[in-house]
Amino acid sequence: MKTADLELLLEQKESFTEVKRNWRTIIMLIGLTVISVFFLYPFILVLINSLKTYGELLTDVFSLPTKAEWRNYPHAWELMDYPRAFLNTLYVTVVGIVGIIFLSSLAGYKLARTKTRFSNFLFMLCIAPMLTPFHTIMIALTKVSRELYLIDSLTGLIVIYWGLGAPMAIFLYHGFVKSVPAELDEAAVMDGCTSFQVYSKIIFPLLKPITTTIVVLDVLWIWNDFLLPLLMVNGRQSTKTLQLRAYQFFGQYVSEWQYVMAAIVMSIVPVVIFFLSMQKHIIKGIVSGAVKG
Amino acid sequence: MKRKIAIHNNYQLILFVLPALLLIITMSELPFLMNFFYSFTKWSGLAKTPVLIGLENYFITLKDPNFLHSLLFTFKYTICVVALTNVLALALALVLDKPLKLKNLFRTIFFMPNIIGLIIIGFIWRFIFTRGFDALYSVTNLPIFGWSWLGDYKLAWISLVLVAVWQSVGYMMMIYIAGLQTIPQDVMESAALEGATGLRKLFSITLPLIMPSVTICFFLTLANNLKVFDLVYASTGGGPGTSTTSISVNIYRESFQAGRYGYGTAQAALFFLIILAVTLIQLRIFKRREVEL
Repeated sequence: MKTADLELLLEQKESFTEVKRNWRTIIMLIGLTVISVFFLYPFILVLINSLKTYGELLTDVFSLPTKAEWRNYPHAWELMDYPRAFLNTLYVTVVGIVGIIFLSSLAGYKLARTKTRFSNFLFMLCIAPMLTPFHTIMIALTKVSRELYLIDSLTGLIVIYWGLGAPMAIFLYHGFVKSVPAELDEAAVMDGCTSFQVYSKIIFPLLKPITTTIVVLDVLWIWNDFLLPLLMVNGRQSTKTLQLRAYQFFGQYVSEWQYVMAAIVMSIVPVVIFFLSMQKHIIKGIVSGAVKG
Repeated sequence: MKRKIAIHNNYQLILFVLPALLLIITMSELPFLMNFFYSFTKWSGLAKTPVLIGLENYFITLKDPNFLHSLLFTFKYTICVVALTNVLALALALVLDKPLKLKNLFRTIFFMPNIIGLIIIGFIWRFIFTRGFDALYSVTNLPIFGWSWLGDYKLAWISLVLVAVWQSVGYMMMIYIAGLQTIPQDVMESAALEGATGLRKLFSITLPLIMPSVTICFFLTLANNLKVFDLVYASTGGGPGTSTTSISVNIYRESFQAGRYGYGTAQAALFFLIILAVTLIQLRIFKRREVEL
């Protein structure tokens, strides 16, 4: 066989594999699109049915509403006392996370910098609760919270979140601080910083990547948490969080799906906005949190 | 001099760690120990005094059909969710790890359900399984849509498995993708040169190399699903009958709804031991298979 023939043959083979590759890509894209429909369609159904009248929803679930019934929204807004529930949840999430970050970075930093048997023991004591499922401690925790007057109060709930969120956060901070050179601390002390200033001015800003991870994990945890608020702040209407309100609302209006759908949309929107605006951080945070935790 | 520094260091360590540690002890470790104490008592209300009765709660638990049934359901459900979620997540990750147009869009779509609370997810699917399937049945007349997916005790647990997989598959996919990205390009290339393709490449090269991700994903799906609460609470309420009552829902019922707090704490203690044993065994088996490059 001549070289030219061989080259031609090779070329043909190459173009053949390319066609094959293109076909595979197309089939994959079609497959992925079909799966995507399964993931998106439930949300689309919720959205379109939140804009229907009761009669229309009963006759046809899948069609678009003939005329958008916007009134479902103010109705559900009022019935579930949305603004209050939203602000309650926001308050608990924000102050809860600020506390977890502050207390845990302080502890995680010092524990990683002190290498004694005593500090090792303290570290173990701090992270041991990561092994305990919440359901094991919930009954006694409710008892403790009653004794300490933390029950039926949003601030009480926040303090409980500080205690429950700290082990994981300390664990992550402890691991991260090891990658920050200790010479920085020494240099800052030479320059006259107190050890709290070393932490607040030098170290804490350097911990930003892991702080982002912890914030992301804890926002999704606290914002969506149901059982702890159910045990602690469900007693009064004024202290209910969004999840509790939504649950109560669904139970009361279970057959009036158009209001339930509107309530679901309003409950989802804040967290979806958070997700879409911080998407990169969230995915990175969740993955690195899982890998290290 | 040295001693003085050591004391000074310990003093500082305590100052930095104490705030977090006190909260951790109060909210987690104290309730954990109290739980074991209460499990040996008859205790009928948060405000009442527990009376010591020895091991009786444990003896009753081990013969209690409700508890045993919840154990059976939880394991059946967990095994199915763990298997399905991991297979699907790995498949999606393998496809979406390739240079593909729109891959970021697909990743976002699959990840979406994960940021929404399971109470809300439960209600969305309750709507689909009831109203949505009714509508599909009247259009298509397919018996599969005519079945009562949440009301039939043979089907309800399968519905929960499907929803749980739908919700968690995107998260695990992200962890698998992160794992796949750590495989050096030249390893895959030399594998291809040696003639490894398709499944052979997957089982002999890819999987062993991403074993740390596999370990994490199995651990997370196992631990999360053994603790399932919100999803059951919102979509089936544990029914029909007690067919979908998980261990955690059963503990909640026995204590907070039936007022048998002492009995509930005994189940909570057993729950802790079960989760600890299962996850330790899993980690042990999977860690052994991890290889270093």
